[in-house]
Amino acid sequence: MLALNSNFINGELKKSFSGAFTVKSPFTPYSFELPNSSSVDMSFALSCATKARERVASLSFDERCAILTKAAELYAVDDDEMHHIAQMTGMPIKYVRERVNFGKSILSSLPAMLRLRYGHKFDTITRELLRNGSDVLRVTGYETHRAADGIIAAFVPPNDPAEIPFLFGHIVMYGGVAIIKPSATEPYFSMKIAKLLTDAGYPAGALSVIHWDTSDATRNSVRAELVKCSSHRIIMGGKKTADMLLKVTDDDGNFVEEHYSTGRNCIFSSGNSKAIVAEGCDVELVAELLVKGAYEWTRDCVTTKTVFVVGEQKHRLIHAVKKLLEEKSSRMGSILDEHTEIGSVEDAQRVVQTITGLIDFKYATLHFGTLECRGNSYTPFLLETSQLHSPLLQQELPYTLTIVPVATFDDAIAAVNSSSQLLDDGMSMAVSVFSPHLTLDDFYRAMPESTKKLLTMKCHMLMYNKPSTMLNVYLRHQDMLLTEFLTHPLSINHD
Amino acid sequence: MLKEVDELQQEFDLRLRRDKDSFHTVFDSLDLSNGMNPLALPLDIWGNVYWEFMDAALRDRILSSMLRYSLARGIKTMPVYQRSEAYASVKPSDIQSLSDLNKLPVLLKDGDVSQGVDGFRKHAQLDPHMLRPVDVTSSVPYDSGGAKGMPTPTHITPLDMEIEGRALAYRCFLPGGLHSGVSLYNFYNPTHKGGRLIEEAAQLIGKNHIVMKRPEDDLAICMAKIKVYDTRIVAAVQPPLTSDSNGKKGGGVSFLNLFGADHTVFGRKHNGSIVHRAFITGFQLPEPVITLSQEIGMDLFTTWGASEALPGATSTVLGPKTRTCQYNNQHLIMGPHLLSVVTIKDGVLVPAKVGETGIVLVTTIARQGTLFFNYAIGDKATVIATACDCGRTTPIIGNIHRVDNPSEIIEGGCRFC
Repeated sequence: MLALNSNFINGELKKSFSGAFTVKSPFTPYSFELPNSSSVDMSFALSCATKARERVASLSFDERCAILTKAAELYAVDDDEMHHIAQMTGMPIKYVRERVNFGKSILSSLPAMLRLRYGHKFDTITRELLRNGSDVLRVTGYETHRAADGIIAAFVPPNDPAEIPFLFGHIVMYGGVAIIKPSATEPYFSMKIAKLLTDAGYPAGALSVIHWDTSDATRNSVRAELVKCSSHRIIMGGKKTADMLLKVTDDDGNFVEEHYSTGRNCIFSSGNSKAIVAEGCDVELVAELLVKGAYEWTRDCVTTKTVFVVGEQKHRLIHAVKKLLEEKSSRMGSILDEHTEIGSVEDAQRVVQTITGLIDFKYATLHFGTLECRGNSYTPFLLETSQLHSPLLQQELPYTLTIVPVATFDDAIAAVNSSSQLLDDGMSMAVSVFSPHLTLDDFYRAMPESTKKLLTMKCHMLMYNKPSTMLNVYLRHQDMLLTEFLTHPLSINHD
Repeated sequence: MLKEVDELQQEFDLRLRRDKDSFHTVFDSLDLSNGMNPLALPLDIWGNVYWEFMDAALRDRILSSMLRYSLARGIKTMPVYQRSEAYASVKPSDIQSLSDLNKLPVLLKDGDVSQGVDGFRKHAQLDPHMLRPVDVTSSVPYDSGGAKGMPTPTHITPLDMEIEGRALAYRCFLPGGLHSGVSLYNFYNPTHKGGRLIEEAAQLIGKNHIVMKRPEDDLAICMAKIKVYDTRIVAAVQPPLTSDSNGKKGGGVSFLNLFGADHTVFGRKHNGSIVHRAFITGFQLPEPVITLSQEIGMDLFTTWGASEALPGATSTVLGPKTRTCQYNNQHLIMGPHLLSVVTIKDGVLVPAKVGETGIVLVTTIARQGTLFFNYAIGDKATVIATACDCGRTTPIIGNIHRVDNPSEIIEGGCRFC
């Protein structure tokens, strides 16, 4: 395991010039020291990043692909590292392993995905768009994506280790230079992947990871410096996080300037993923997929939180889900136990109290779960409500799925749209659609009007007969945003 | 080429021997029993490095003699003291030693109306001349920082600049490792007194190029000039790391801004690095900056100064490795100004002992323009030591920090101006 009491700057683990602070696991006695970096460390990282830009710019598309491929080959996460992630996130070790392995698969898939989606020509990300495209005028054209100018600042959340290879892999493929501030809750995996990619050949200084104690007011200037000196900022968190990062205050807390209008900001604020169960489904199968999407690891933006169930199959679905939850509930225990299914939740007491309150005030019906904590854990909850404005549809309570009965499939789409509009960016992240029609084509043939509505739903991803968590790196997720965010398109018209 | 410390130390030792002789040539024949006019002395005396190495008792006799003269002149010529009830009973002849300074009233910028205590800021805003001796006909008012309100002026004459420039050049910059020949880049605001004095002091030392940062120069231009002028030494501000490091004092570029633009330029660690020595001020040198300088092999020192008085104390680059006066531990520079660190007990000023933290009071001894006596400038400091392996005989102060809270003094029950 790498030394946690270091930053990763200029291709090496580097002790901070400015002291350290202690981070404790919310769930176990595990703790460690993390650098409490100051502007001195940040200045060093900024200088190294600036110096790395030239070397990064000289890498060809094939060289960047080779770096990712080599990184995937070198990718090995040992038990200590897995245990660290489990203890800091509360994720059961079984799912840590799964998410970590998914990270490896992301790294190895990204080069092929980029080639397929954006093309590869002239040693760059370039796609041929037109070839003799007009009868009147002979037209040929390319669209190329060149690296963003400047330094990328990335603020990374702790909830999913797979996010790190996903983000860093994209940065490498686009020839970006980044300074990453991971959440102190889980700061390790960012260092691990930054080092891995550097060891695989990405220039030293191009991926730096720097830590500081965000609760220490004397370090506000470090964040301000990074925001001010970066041309692109990736903020994987909600609007509240973005406000905190982009609105600069002075030492007395007075508002000084904002950075929404400077540089470019990519704010990932979506979540609250949903599902729709159409009439006539194989309820047993849908229950299985729903449980997978809702309860395996429940702090992802793609975890299903609400399911709109059409027609009369609600009771059968509840019965089937409960059966699966009984099995899951029997496997609660230490997050480090390979058999544990239900993880730890930092604010478990608050979640249970919230749900108890909703039930007491008849805002929801409890179908499964015990309204008490077991240490930092609780049994998974299955709830039902008919109110689209219920807090259950706005908050993202871990290990909690809420059923909302609706009369028709179109009502379900309308409910998704209506409840999504109340979210920060007016969109849900993913919506799973479970239907008796095997493919979307079949669905379209059977229900063309509903398909049109489905395809304009207020969500970023539609998972057809799949759990909302079943990501596919070849398809648009946040990666599409990242590509467009981290590169500048250049159209080439030639003959 | 930048000279390394050993070579500079030999040069400094030579200068010290020479300055000792010239010091005695000036003072041995003078009568110290009456008030001695410091402005009548040869200018070079203020750049004499022997001041900090001489016998403390003799220094006290010399400086207290000058203080008697300046105090008498201040009371006679400066409205701020003429209007002060507390000064009505002050007799300059009572000053027989520098410890008698503790009998003088404390001069406060900001008073407290609720306690009936007056400060001079509100008066100076309406009448800036109250801080200028009436026997001065031409001066430049340099403003204070103005962090707590309208800045107050310190009236400075060309002679005053020459006095302070010499003290800064030879008693601070030389032991800080500056020497003739190599280039210095001054990032201080050239319209501020500190910025002008650095230029003046660098010229006295005979720097090859003294590059001044213009307010409109951005970071890229600054870095380009560092390289093109082969700048071995920089003079820059570094605000506390808790603040936005684009501090106001330096006109927009702090030391860390420069370092962040290209770290390989600084220190001796990288092949082709340029800047090996830095004079950095701005409250205290932040500890992480000290750690950084040690790691990259860059010499670092600081000097206490303000528009009201400069220099007040300095740390060193030259001297034995065991010396105390490194980084934030600064020897008092005694004359042309005097810093004292005091606590207030039962309304009486008591010199802080080693290890004690107290209020910094500024007294100007040799100046044509504004004379301050026991001026509570808004800093606190800790007395670190009274002896040092470098051989200087002046106390060392450290942990200098801003505590601009007049009530600390007012509630001490002290007498005020």
